Amino acid sequence: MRLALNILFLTVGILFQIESFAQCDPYFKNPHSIRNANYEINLQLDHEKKKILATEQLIWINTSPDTLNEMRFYMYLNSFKNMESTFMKSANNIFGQDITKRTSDTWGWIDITKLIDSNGSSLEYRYIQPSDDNTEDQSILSVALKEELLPNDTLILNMNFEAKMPKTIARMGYAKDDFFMFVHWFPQACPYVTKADGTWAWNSHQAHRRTEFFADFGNYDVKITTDKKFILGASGCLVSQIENSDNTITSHYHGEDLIDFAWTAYPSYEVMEDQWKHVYIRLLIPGEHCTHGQRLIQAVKNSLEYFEKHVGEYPYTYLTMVDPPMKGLRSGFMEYPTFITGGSFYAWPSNIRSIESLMIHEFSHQYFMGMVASNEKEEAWLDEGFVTFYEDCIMEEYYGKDQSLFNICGYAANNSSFTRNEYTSLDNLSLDIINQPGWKSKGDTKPIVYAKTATMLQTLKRLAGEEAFDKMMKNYFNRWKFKHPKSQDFYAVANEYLTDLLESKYGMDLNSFLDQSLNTTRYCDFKVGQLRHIPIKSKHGWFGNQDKIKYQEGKKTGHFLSKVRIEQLGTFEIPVEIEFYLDNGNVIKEIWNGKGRSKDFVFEGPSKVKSVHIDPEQKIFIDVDLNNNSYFSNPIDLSIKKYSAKAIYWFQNALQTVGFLF
Amino acid sequence: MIKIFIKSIKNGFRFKMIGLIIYTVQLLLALTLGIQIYQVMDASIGNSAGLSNLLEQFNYTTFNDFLNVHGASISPIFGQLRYLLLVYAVFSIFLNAGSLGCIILNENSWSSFWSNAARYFFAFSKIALFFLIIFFFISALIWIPILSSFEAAMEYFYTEKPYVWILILAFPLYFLLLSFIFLWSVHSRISIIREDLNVIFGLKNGLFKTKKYFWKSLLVLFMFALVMFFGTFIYLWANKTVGMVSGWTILIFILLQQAIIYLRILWRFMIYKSIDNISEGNHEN
Repeated sequence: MRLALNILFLTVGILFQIESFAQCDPYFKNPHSIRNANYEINLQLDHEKKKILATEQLIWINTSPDTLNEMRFYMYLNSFKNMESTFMKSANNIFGQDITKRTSDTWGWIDITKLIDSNGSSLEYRYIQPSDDNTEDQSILSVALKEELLPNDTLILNMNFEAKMPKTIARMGYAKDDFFMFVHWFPQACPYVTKADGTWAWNSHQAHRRTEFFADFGNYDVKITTDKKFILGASGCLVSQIENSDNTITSHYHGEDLIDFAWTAYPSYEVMEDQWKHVYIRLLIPGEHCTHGQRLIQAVKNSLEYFEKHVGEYPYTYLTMVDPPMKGLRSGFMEYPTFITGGSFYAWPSNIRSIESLMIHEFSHQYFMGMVASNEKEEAWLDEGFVTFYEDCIMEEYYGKDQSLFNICGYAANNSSFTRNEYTSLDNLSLDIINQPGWKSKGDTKPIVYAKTATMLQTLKRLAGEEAFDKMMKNYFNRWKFKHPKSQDFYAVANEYLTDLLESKYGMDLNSFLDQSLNTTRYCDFKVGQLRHIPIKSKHGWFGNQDKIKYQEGKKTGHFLSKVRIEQLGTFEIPVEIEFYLDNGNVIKEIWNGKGRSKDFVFEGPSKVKSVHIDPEQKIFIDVDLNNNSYFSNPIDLSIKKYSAKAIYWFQNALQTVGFLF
Repeated sequence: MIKIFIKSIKNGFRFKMIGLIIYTVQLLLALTLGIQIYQVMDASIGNSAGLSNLLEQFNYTTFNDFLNVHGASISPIFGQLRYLLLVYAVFSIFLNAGSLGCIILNENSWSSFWSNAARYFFAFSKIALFFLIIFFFISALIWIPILSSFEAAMEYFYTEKPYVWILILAFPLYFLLLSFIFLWSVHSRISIIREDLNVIFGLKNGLFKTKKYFWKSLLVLFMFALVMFFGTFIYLWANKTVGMVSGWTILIFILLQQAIIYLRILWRFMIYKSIDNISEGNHEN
């Protein structure tokens, strides 16, 4: 009887366990990527000491034609060891934190305590500085291999490591009440890939303030042991949980075809779950933010739908979203494979949709970074720019064309306009080029790498049309998913799908457009420079012979010469459509190739040109001032009256308030 | 209390001609800036089709492109506003002295307004300075600790929820304290006018009366605040549903805006009269 009961309980237990973890399936039938960096990690979290003790097995395949005698690892956690790292030296401030005020227990580090190869031989290692000569930087580790690693050979390394988390900084660390965000927390293999010249080399940049990811695809099998009180979330899918006798629990996560693995632990997460087609969505959110949990989930479901329709399918069956508590907010707003973090605040108003927008941004990284794994460190525009563009598209598709981002008492903004303004409001529009490594940028990368790229893509989409643009992006995604494309690869796909179309529609050179946008600091600003009407008179002057010569007055013919000057205030060369509206109702359409500083158009006839509209459909969204693209010879100044009256009203109100105080 | 409220409204309207003086001064000052706004907009984007985007509703792109390119022409106007407010602060002491004198002494003529303004200006200036210092002190006392303790609050509390509630509750506390100093200021000025006291005794008497009639006066202030909120709500509602979208609606809204400004001046007179009525127990004037 006792045995029978045990069997019954065991069966129910197994069924329950299967039921509990059946929401996602981490295993793909066929590999999507070459899976050349595979990890098996077992770790234990000591939440009191903010430390993890772990063992790691790396199975790494040399996919290059070179024979290697070293292996390199990212040890980015060491950037927060002290103020001597390249990261800390390049940071003026990190989310407004005064780093000098940190206490000794708030710094973080990672240290390998044992490292052996498959033969059991202990390997020597040292920190190197491939990006600069900062010998204090310990963010890149070089391991000397005892045996040469031939092309297509597999390297198996086993190591023990210890990591101490810093107090939240740069999207990672711990915060009060046992909140943890684990990012860059394990020794991760640097990729050995082709350079621009086609030769192979380690791509092992040290951690820098303005750069993020670049890593190989592989499978991650991670077992995390923590105190039972923690609620966990991680990249990959939870496949099992085992309770241990010492009041701990071991959670087993597995993820395939990923380029990184991040996880979080916090006892006070509420878990909200949802499903979108094949994707199990799990949101970890502190109780005080739960009122907008559904908003965040819906934002991601909208993104999944949009991407499936316009770019390609999301192949994973799982996605973990994290809305960190306020005390851990510095760990938010970041993307990791199948694991994204947002950020919100208690009682966030529903008419300000920045929390949805940010979550959509991070989700979009699943496509551009997670799957189309371009090198963010060297060519950030290929992910941040694309992601900002899709963030804008998704927001406007689901939350309204004119007010997707916010609507406060009628003062509304949509995402693409907001993004464009981040670029166009720069004091120096020629501050930087888009396509350069993060560490070379002169200022904040957001207005250029994120905003200008997104506006450039918006321009391309408007010029080519949504259908053609989507076709190009679908092909780019399908060709480069689970690979590491470079700028040239995008150029190639864009050329394949859009060159003929743009050439035939506008006489536009796509390569020139991409090159000017990405590799130069040129900006575009068309302007209607001049509109003049000259009445045409009949022939006048002295006519006749000898003493019969007579002066003939010119008479009004009722015809006019309308002279219009179109100017390019920038140096960006792009063909542009122009519409001339005549006062008889006719519209004359012209295309100017955009070369040179200006172009004059002259029209003669009984009707005057009453208005001129450059790029009337605002396709060239990258134009930095759209107000000077049109000109009415007889404008109606109602709007000016409206806003002047409003200004007077608010000035009077200000005077009233002052009068009331005194 | 309702009686005082209704009587004060009636009394406020009695001083409409004095209200007109203040309204005219404010309108002229506002026009100096408003006309500049008109000229800058006309000269910069007056011929653009972008303007039609702004007529129906606010357009983020048109507005920001205008600011990005012509912001340098607009920002000096707001610089002027700063100085204008400063100058008006001094001038409003003069205007308030005139209007309060007429209301309290029940003299409803322009000549009384100017003579009261001149008579009480210096005394009221000292009172304004005194309350300005208290105003800054109270503002600093409430807001500096709250706003500067965000980081610390995140370390201390489990969530941001208590901090948000502290922030929310700070507003009524702040307005309560502001109401107290406002009532004190009005009572002090009324004492100076009615009892011919000097500034020190005026303040002392004002404080005494404020403490004595604080809750009653606060209730009346609250009733007048409700009237103001209701008026503002109606204006915003009308703006949202009808809006300034055509020549006629722009004209109607300009008239509506000016009516609101004028009524706000009379509204202030009504408050002065109600405070005076409460402290004097005179409900019939």
